[in-house]
Amino acid sequence: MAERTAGVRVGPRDVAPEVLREISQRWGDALEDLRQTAPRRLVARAPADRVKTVLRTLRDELGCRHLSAISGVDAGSSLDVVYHLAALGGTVLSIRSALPRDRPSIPTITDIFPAANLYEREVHDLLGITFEGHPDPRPLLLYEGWPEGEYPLRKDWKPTAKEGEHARG
Amino acid sequence: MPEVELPIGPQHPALKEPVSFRVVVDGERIVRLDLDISYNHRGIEKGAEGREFTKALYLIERICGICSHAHATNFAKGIEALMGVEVPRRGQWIRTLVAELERLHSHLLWLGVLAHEIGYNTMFMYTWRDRETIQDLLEEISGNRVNYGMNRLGGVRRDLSAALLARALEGLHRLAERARFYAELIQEEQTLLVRTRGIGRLPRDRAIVLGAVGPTARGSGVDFDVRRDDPYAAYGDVPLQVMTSDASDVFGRLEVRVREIGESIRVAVHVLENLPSGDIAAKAPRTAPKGEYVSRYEAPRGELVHYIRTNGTDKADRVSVRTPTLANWLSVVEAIQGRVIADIPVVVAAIDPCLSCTSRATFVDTGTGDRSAMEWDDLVAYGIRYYRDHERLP
Repeated sequence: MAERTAGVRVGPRDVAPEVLREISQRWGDALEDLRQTAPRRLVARAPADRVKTVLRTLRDELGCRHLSAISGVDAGSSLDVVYHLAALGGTVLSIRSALPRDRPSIPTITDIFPAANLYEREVHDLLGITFEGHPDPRPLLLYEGWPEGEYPLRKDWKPTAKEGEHARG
Repeated sequence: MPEVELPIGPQHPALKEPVSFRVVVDGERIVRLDLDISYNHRGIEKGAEGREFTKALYLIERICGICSHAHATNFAKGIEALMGVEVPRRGQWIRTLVAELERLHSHLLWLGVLAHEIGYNTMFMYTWRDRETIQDLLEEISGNRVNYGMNRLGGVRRDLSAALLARALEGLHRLAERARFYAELIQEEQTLLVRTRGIGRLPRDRAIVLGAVGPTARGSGVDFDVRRDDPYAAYGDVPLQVMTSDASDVFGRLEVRVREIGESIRVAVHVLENLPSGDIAAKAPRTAPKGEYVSRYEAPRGELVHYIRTNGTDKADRVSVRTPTLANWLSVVEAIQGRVIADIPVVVAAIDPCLSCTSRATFVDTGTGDRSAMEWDDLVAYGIRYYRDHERLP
């Protein structure tokens, strides 16, 4: 019979605690604030200059070969990049890196996770985070006439109406 | 021969994701494919930030017209996880039923589109007729043929009557026969085999590296399905066989989807025959505490991800959506390389990107600057003619 915790169903056995234990035993110092937030969900933090090393280690030594997504978030004091890695047994490990608002920049991971290509371009378009060394950093999602330096998912960005257009937040 | 750039697209207003391809060709052979998906960004993520959860749910359901239930359920279960709300079992099972009906309608629609792209319109007629069985059921269950609006935070909005349950079972049993017919057909029918076997190759390792999901990945032997690996709704309690194929080409993607039609029917029948009694929804609070959650869902096209951050209010701080189609684009780019122009429609259609439809294509000869315009339909017709001449297909 499946167990339940905090509204999230758990089907098969949740191996996230074991994944967590293994990561903290082997690379405990590489990740900050590693913890389980829900069944099969782990979160951790890593500084921008260490993210790539951490991700490569997790890929090569923990078998996290599938990068589920990269999310960009305007967290107020910082701009966050969150890497969602699929780990053993349906576990998702989300590694967050907080970047300063005045210089939001982080090395690309496309060289170790080619799947990151479009995800990084999307985050750049919407939040203005630069991925240093990205092989193809052209705009991806916003139309060709979109003004440079406008990042719509930043909290201080508000849509403005041109004549004859509706603007709704 | 000079390299020629061949732009296809960008858009058709009826489709959710207009996309433009710039295909660089050397004679018939495709050297490189580049894509442009910038035509229709609707700002739904920004819109969701400014709306209460209950309103954002309806907005997010409208991200996609084909898999609207996928988006709504994924968002609802994410917010429920953050709120700590437990959906009653009957509600979970009804969500699962609608999810599988949605997969059925989506896969049948796709099967018809693929058949149309290769000029096999008899099959297109068959699958779209069979799809009506599902559409009718979805309408009876939810009141809508698309954007079902079945979800609310804490469960579902509508229950199933015993009479409706019986009608649904009857419809699914009828469809199960058709699914068996399609499963046999795709192994024998020459038009399908010639146009899909060995075309759009994507080896298993490349599928993993490029981040492919859903039938695109499973058609290359990647054994990954969120329903089994990270179960939600009723999936932990319902028998489910994950379908894979080692063919690693367009045929593999076709084979997986056709077998998934059979499996979805079995799951839906199991849900209907074992539907638990009780409430269909729990009362959800108005606000969610500060937190973050990665909500995953196996949409018809593959793993769908919503990364949700809440801040203690009745609105999400951030809803970041990663659709399966975005994850599968890189696989198209790779799988089309080295193929001929005639294969573009099937290789693109094989990831089921919701765009295989009318688009304008322009041929530009880079040597002379000559342009000639072409409709997507003409490209499809060209592909059919090409294979008629080269492979003597009817």
